[in-house]
Amino acid sequence: MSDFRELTDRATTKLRRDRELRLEVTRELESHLEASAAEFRAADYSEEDAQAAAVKVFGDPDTVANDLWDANRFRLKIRVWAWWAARLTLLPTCVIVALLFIVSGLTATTRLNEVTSGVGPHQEGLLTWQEQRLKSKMTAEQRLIYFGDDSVDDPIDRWRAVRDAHPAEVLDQLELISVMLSRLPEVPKLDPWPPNDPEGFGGPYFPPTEDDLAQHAAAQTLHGQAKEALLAELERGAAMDPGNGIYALLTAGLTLHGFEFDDESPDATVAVSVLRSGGEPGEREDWHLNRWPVDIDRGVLDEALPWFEVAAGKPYISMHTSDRVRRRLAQLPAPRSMPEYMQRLSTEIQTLLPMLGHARRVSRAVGAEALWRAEAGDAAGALDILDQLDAVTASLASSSDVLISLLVARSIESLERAYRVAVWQALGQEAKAENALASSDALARYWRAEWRDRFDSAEDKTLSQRSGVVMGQIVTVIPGYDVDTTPFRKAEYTLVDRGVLTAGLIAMIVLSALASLLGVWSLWRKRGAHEGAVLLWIGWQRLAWVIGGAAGLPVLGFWVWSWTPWSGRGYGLNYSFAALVWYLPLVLTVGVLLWVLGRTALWRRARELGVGVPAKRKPGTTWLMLAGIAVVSVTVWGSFWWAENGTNISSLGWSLANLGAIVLAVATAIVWLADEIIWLRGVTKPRSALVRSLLLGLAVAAGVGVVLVSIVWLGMDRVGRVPMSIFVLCIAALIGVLAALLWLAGRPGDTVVFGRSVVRSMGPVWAIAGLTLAITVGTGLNLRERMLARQMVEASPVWFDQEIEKSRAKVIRAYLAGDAPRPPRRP
Amino acid sequence: MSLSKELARGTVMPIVLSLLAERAMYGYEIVKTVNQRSGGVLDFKEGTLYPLLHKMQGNRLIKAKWEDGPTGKPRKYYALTPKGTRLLGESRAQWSTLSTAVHSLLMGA
Repeated sequence: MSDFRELTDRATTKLRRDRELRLEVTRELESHLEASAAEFRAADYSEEDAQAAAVKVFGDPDTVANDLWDANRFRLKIRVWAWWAARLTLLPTCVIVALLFIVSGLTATTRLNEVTSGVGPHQEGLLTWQEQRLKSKMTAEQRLIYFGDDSVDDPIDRWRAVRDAHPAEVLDQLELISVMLSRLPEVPKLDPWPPNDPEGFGGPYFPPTEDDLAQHAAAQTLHGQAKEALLAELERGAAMDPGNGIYALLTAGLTLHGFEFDDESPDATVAVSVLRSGGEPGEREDWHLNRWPVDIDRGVLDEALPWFEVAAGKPYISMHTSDRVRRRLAQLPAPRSMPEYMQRLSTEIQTLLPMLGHARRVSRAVGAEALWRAEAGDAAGALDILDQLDAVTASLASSSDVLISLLVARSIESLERAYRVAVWQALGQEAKAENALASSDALARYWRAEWRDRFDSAEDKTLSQRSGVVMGQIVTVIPGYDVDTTPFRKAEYTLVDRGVLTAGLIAMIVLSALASLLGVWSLWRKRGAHEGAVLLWIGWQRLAWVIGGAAGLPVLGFWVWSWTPWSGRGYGLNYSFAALVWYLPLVLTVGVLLWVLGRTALWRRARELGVGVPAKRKPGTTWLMLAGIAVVSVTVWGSFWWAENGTNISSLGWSLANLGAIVLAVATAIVWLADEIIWLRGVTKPRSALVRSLLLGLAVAAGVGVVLVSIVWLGMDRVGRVPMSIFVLCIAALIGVLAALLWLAGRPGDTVVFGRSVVRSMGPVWAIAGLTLAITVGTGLNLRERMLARQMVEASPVWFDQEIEKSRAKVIRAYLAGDAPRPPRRP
Repeated sequence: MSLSKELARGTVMPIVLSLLAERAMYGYEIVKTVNQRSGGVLDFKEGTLYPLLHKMQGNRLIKAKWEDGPTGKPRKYYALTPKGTRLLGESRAQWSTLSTAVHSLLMGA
């Protein structure tokens, strides 16, 4: 204790509400008195006289106390208020920011799932929340066109309202038809096969009950009503858009939809045939014709065929898919994040409603009619209707704006070729049938070869590896898809960056809360004594130094690293998992440095205030710890890299290397943590304490390990014993380490108050660091996401517009549309 | 000769500002410098300096920073802020006017 403690205690007594401020003023006055006494000593005063003289010239401590109170009164109030405000708001603010990050991350993940699984729109939870935000930025008209009338629940009514608002708009009419088509109720089968088909009623082993029959009749009624409504809308669409054959084609398809096959009708049987190729790649491609009988109702066929002929006579057949998507997406504000961009993708997927079922149904019926005519000897009639099917294919193909529409045309073409072969056979023209078979082969061979070889070229392989999770799924199914997927790949990494940031923020919240609780607990334990922890404030300048050095520099380094080829970010997350390993050193380095720089700043502050502090810490074990992090990161990354690129080193070798690295890292962490605790508390006889703590840890680990392994060997079979034993031994080792560290933390030392003060004061430092990092880096990531989303929109406002133009599918379109004689031969 | 308290009180703050305009100083250094330069005329009780320094710091006329002294122990150094510099300029001008007026009145010059 200082020789002037009595005087300084009296002079600062009125500042006792703020322990840190009082300590600071006390230290300043003591420093003054010590200097004054030293000068008197230099003037040959005795020690006692020098101190008395210093006290005398200092003046009356009670007067100084009043003046100090008066001078610091306002500052004291502000500090007390600021501490309470920080206590009440800091952690809750961190939690709110973390929650916002979590919500944003979950929204992105849900949207990602929605896009990758191709499911329809979710109207609940996070996505509804995101959509509400979007709606608030849109006008009523924009909302109507994009979302439909959201005041009604039924999707058909929702889109009917849009059409009613724009009665002359063809795109709205087609949107309504599209929704009605997608929601056309199916009629479950009676006596379904397989018998356990949940969609059907009854079955061969369980004949339909009366209840089943009633439900079936009700479903039929429902289907009939929906079909009637849809037919009316198709008629209306045809009047609005007279050059488009889609309405007639869909009317034909609907007419054929849902009728009951009449197996007993003697004049309803025709043979439907399809071409089947040889087997898988590598097998001989031997095309042949399969035939099997299908019963079709003649009356229904007669009703549908005129509609088909109307469609065949129209100049184009199109659902205007791209235009409809474009119109809807134009209503949205520019995307500001990946979830918002993915909502656009999701909208595109929803709009790509395939009419494949209807088109194939019509094609089969037309083929059946051609065969029926051929078998009746009407060669001209048979060939004429097949030519009409050809015309429909060409119209559909030439107006195809998205790949799925082209695939519909391709499917019709495939059926038409098969029927043509069958028709020539039925007419007894085997030579022409052979020719037709040979020519029908060309497109199928081309497309099969393209599909099979789509990853054989180095460019296609690289494209898929560089595309990321979402685009990786799309480019892999489109041969020769030559698009720039860079923004998608980068955006996915940005989402992972944000995920890691969120996890880091949560970790800092937990650590901060834990440190604060430990500090409060220590304060309560030592209440009334002078050994209680002091809540130290390191000041804004030092805080900036801690945050900049511990978080800013590593994050900046990671950002620079991410631009280098070694980071693996040149490849997408669908390919390069090794890239994720680099988060490990980042997170660990930030954690270690936050502790080291934080406790160094607190050491300086405590020293200024005259709190007993240990000697300045040497950075030896901290460097060891950072080196351990580097070794583990490089080893784990190396094992990923070698796994991806092939290696001659055995998997056992890499497992041992990884195991060795992890053991090294854990050992380094133990030594570092123990060294920190010994230093913080100023533990007397540190070497002995370290050895004892390690022995204690080993003993506890061994004891717990023996018990756990015994339970495993008694309770498990032979196969599972060894891996489970290794696992429980790891748990035992962890418990041992914790026991050793806890034991060390309880050792008496010379700077116990400092140790407790560091723990108590570290909470706010971590919380502010976490918050600063989340706000700055989070804002940076949001800006980057916004920039990437803008790049994606600039690359193509409607992504699926590019599927044909920028891939080898355009060869198919040219051929089907009649613009090219035949697709090029592939080896 | 010691100065009356009332007369000295109004001069302490400008004097401290003037000293800190030269360089950053710690409390004891300020006291010693004032005593030396005034030849003991402005010999005030040392303890009264700190409330004044804290008040000036609260008014943002000066700022404080802990730095290690020659002995290795931390000392609290005070330095002038831009606001303090402005006030020092005003105080010098006022003092010049006042001292000229008082001198002419008291000395009959």
